Amino acid sequence: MKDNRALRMTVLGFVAGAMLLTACGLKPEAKATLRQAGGTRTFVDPNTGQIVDEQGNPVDPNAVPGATQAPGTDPNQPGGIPGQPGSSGQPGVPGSSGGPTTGPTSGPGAGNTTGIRDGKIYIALHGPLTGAGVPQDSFKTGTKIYWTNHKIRGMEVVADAFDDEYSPGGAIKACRRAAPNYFMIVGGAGTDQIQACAKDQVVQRGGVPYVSAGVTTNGLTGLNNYFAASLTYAQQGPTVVKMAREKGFLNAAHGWALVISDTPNFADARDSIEKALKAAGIPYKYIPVPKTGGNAQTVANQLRAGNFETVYFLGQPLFFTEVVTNTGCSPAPGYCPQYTGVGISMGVNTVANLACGGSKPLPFKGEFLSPYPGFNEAARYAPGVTFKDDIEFTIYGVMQLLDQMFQSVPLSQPLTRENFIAAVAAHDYTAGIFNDVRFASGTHFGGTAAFYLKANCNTRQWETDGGPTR
Amino acid sequence: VILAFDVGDKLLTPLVSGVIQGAIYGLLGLGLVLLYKGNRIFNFAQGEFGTVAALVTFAFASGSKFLPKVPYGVAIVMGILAGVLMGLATERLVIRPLFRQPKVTLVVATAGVALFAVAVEGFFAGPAPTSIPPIVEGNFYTGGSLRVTNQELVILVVLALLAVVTTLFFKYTQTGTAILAVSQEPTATSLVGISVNRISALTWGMAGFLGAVAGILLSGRTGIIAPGFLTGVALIPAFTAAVFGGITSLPGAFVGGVVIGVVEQVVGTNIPVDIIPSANAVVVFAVLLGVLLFRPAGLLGKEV
Repeated sequence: MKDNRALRMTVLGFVAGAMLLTACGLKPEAKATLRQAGGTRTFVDPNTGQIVDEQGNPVDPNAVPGATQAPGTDPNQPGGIPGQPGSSGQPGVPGSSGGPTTGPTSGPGAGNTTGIRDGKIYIALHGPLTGAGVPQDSFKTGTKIYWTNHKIRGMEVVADAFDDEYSPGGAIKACRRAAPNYFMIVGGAGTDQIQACAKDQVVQRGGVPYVSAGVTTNGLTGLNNYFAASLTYAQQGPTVVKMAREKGFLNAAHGWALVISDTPNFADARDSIEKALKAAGIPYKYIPVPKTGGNAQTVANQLRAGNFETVYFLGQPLFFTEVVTNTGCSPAPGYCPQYTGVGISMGVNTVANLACGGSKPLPFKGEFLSPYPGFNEAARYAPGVTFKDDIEFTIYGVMQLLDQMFQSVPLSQPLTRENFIAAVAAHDYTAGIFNDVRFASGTHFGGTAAFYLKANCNTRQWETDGGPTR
Repeated sequence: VILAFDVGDKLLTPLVSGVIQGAIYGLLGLGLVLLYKGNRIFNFAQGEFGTVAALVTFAFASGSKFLPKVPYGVAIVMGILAGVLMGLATERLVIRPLFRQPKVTLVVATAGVALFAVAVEGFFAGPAPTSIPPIVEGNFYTGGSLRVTNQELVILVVLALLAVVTTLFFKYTQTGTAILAVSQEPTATSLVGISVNRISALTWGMAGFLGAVAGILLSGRTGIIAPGFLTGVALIPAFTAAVFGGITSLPGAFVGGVVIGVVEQVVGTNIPVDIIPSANAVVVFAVLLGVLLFRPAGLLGKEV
């Protein structure tokens, strides 16, 4: 009896904890808010570069998690990193003053040169380095491959990858560690993570330039520091329909299924694809799924029940592969849907590999839009460079674009965050691995076109099947 | 055009899917019940017995890193062996040294084993998920929204078989009786000549075996395996299944698993996400709380 009571208490405690975690998992924004509420909220004062609390009082940087992180070493190790106690400031760079570990270096009116010191420019990338299904090392090595042979104003560029744990809370944590030490931040993947980081108060107050692939406009519109380097999901809605028409999977007697994560960040994407399908006269059914994934079997049952020929999917990549596996693909007259949607996460080869099944290749039919071409065309878009996988290839493409952005700051001006943002906002950039990007017209959502990527289960890769087009 | 679902799609399909999904929960639940009967503890590492087995199966089937590529059947045997070894190692290195400690210490220790296992899995297999083939390919039945694969049929058969075998084992064998005796009175049991250590090792080995079978079958069904996969996907429903069935009842774990699977699927199919997000997960918690509050002995269990 005693054992049973203890058992009950243990399980009840476990269940209560699990329910709390689940609830927070369903509302990541709430989780981030809870986390903020739990401790002192700190900001980087854009004028002094100091870390301050909400009242503007200076805060000991050592007390701010990650604030003592010095760049150039593994940013994912907890706590500060010995060896760089206080950056020294780069001689000859106006306004660069170093400062005790926090990094912001501006003097009054001189502009913010945080992340430029010792003849190096430090940039940060955040992305899911663990657990989310992308090759982690490639995230780090992709940057090095590019910058080994390129310099900005004679300075070496050091790019460090931060693990955002594929959660908005993780992204905020990563970006708050990066903001006081790195010149700019690049968002690797994940709509919620990109949004959480780009609009985070520390990033905003520090005026940290932030570049990512296009995802949502929700919460990102009007941010001075944010730049989308490819078409947003909403912009891609009509392009998906165009691709479907060209590739012969638009007209469907039983219509399309729109399997979309139930998050406000995908509302614009959903509106866009619904409008495009209505305009094309194609019936569809919206099947919302929890942001955290939900039950793949339930979704698979709904797809088979509706006999939808085409499935537009926008959600967690791993959940996508579970849905594909659970739905299966039977030879005609059996059910075998065509999967489609927008980039960027679905277009990584890890996803194709999983969706294609474990042993012999399955007849998985997938064709998605992507801001970059298939890895099969790496030699064409980056001749002479050897990549070990598609993540390295695409990160290389991001670095190509960043290089152009840095070059667009007039040499007559110091390289500051303010001048960088002003220069990017006034320029268009020509295609490298990524498509052309145009910000000069006044938008910060500068994507212009997308590639068609088709899954090849024999090679277990996405391969270019068309584009770039819009 | 909104395509209407008929009763078959709303009830029959989730019912069948739920039975299959529940069979997996039942398999994991069997291991949990076994250890509860044997040690009077909840084993939080049960899911990782399965994950390790599935990862080892994949590693041998694909010949990854330094391992030789072997036929899938052999790889499965290696995977099950890994699960059993992990169970034995857990018993020898963690449980046995803590055997005389309060039960809550052992429970927390198993949680530590699970976390350690996830880290080790990530070290060897990498954090990214990998695809794993089913044991048997092809569909047993397809029609309308319903699809039952051959793999799923295997899952049902294996669960039923293991539930019967383990029940008979505890009911009719001396070793089964010895396991129960050790759990109830270890000192007296050792006085009559039964080796408590040997029985404990046997129990954990069996739990490792059951977890391994569950892991290999589940990952073959979903087609995906990653560090921590079974703990994340199936441990809570398996706990619920075990508690629902009566934590000391092996057939109860079987029945509990199936009930939880069916409830999860029917609710998930019929309650839209925009009304209750993750309704299928919420209902599992609700069932667990309800059982603990109103019928703590479970469906087939007895208050002890």
